[in-house]
Parts: sequence; structure tokens; C-alpha cells
Amino acid sequence: MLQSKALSLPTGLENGWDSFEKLVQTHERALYNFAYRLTGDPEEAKDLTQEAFYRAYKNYDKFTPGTCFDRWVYRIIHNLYLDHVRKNRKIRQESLDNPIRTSEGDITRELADNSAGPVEDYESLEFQGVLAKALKTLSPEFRAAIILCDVQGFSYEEISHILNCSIGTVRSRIHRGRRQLRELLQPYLASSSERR
Amino acid sequence: MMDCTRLSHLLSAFIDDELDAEEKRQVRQHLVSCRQCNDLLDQLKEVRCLLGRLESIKPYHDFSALVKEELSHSVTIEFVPGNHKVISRGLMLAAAAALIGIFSMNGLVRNAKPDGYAQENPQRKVQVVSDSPTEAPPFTDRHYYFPVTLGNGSSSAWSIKSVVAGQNPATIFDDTSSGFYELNLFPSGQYR
Repeated sequence: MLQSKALSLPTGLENGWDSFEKLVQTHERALYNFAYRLTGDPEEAKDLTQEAFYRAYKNYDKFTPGTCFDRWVYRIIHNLYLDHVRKNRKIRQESLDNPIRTSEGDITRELADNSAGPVEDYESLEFQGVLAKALKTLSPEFRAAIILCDVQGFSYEEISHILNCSIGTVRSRIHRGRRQLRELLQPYLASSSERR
Repeated sequence: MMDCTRLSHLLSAFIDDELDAEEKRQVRQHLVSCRQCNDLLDQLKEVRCLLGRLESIKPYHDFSALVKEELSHSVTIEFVPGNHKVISRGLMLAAAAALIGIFSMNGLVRNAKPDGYAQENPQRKVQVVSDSPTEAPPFTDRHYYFPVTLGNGSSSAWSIKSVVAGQNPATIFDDTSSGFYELNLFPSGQYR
């Protein structure tokens, strides 16, 4: 009887599954968060992250030694997500009126609350929901660049490698994304309320 | 002197310290005299700062365990030269490959009846796995067909010798009279 090839050693992964498992454990939180901020949905993020790790394992022979494993998986996640969006054109561009799902429950608060002022509690569920919701209104390309820069802290050069685009494109996406967010988050900006 | 339109496009990169020395000098020079761009700069800084406040979510999943579980459902199909001929455009490639080609696919195999899932979900059908048994299947779906027909037993003909899913033989519809092997691999997530 044939044995499954399921856990056979991918080329380049010298210590096999154990090595891969360590890589997953080291990077899973950051990668899951990237997927979560991209999709805005915890279950979708889990599915996306799992598939990205799965493909990373199966295609490990395509990984360039000496480069960062996590950057490679970020790229897989991003490509999978864009493919998914393109295949599902009907996928909703998040309406500001729709509730957003978070791991702690749905956030239904309106985004632009004109009575809102500078934020006093950044960790509040309410404000976290407002931020997540604003992020979700950006196009997938802008959103990915913004998450990688402002949430994950990558340099423009690192982002250009992950997103497979020029640094000029990264610069443009980040700036345009931030300008859109500035409009959406206007009521919460201290520099805005000072002038009101 | 830079105008506001051109300068404003550089402000985010200025905040992120991603401009070259000359660009930085020009931006600083412009900011000395432009209130509007200073306001925009302040607000962009604040947006960046707010995004940095997004909390890191701890995933409630053991991804290595999930991937390992998925890998355990892998399917291995062994092709051997035989009395059947695999109909595919890549037959020549197949024949030129090793005498025995091992072709691994991944997914969940269940209820692989001749007219079960395929009829209920015709939109998910993917005709022909690959051009040759030694090529990787497309990752876009996990529902595959193996068109096979009776051949003359020439040495270049191929047939499927066995299919193993995990440690178990997969259910495979083997109806050579109608010319099809059919294997249903069910996608279990929207990114698969």
C-alpha cells in the first residue's frame, strides 16, 4: 500500500516538520493580524492564514534561502486575498453603516460621530471598532500598504517586496490611504478639534 | 519652491522618513511658510499614530496543528504505465517523465460518487487535473477529473494504479467504460 506523501520533507526544509512548526509559531500572530486587518473578519483571517502556511509548506522549495520567511508568507497572504477579492467581485466594499465583526463581537457604532472628540481611551472596544471599520473602507491595495506600514511597522522597501510593487507605488498607496482615513477619522483627530 | 499639490504627496513619506535628503530639504522649506500643509502634516501624523494603536489580536488557533491536519488529508495518486491511456494534452510530457509518476494532491476526499457532488455542484468542476501526471494541480479548486480511456497497452500509456488519502485508500470512481476517473476533493475554506 502506498503511504501518504503528506508530511514528506519539502526541499530546503532541512529539519522537516519541526523546523516549519517553529517558523509558524514564531510568526503566526503577526501574520494572523495582517490577515485579520485585511479581511476584517476573524474566521476569514483564520482561513486565510491557514491556507498561506499550508502553501508555504508545500512550496518551500520556492522560498529563497537567506530571505525572511515571514515576508514571504505576508506576500502569500496578500496574493491570496487579492485573488479572492477579484474572484468575488460582489464582495462588499464595506458600508459605513454595516456592523463590523471583531473577535469580541459586532461593532455597530456609526463611524463619523460629530460629537466625538480626541480619543481618551485608545484601547476601548468602541474606538478599536471605529479604526477597524475605517480601515475596511479602503481599497484592498491601500489597506494592505497601510497595515504593513502603520500597524506592522515595515519600511517602504520591505512593503514593496511583500506587495511586489515599486517603492513609488508604496509611497502613493500609503499617502492616499492615510488621506482617506484622515477624512473618515476627522472627528477623532485632536489637531482637527483644536481648530473647531 | 514646491507647490502644495506636489508637496502634499510627499508628506506621508516625510513622516515615515522615507524621502531622500533633497526631498526632505524641499519639504521643510515649504512647511516654513505654508499653514495648510502644516495642518495636513499634523493630521497625517495623527492618523498614523491612531493606526499604531490598533491592538494586536491573539489568534485562538494553533496554525501548525491546522496545517498538519490538512496535510494528513493529502492524496497521493500513483500513475503506472499500463493498458489505459490518460487523455491529456500533456501526454507526451507524461510519457517522457519517470516510468512511475507520483502525483500528490491535497484536500478532503469524501463521498466520491460518480454523480454526487459533481452533479450537485457543477460550477465547482475543474476539468482535467493537469497536462501530465507529474505536474502539480491548480490550487484554485480541489475537485478534479481524470479523463482516462482504454488504450492498446503501449509502453507510453498510463493508468492510475492507486489513490491514497492520508493512510486510507480514497474512494475513486473508476469507470473505464465511460472513460473517466473522478475524484472529488472538497474545498473546506474560501481561500482553498
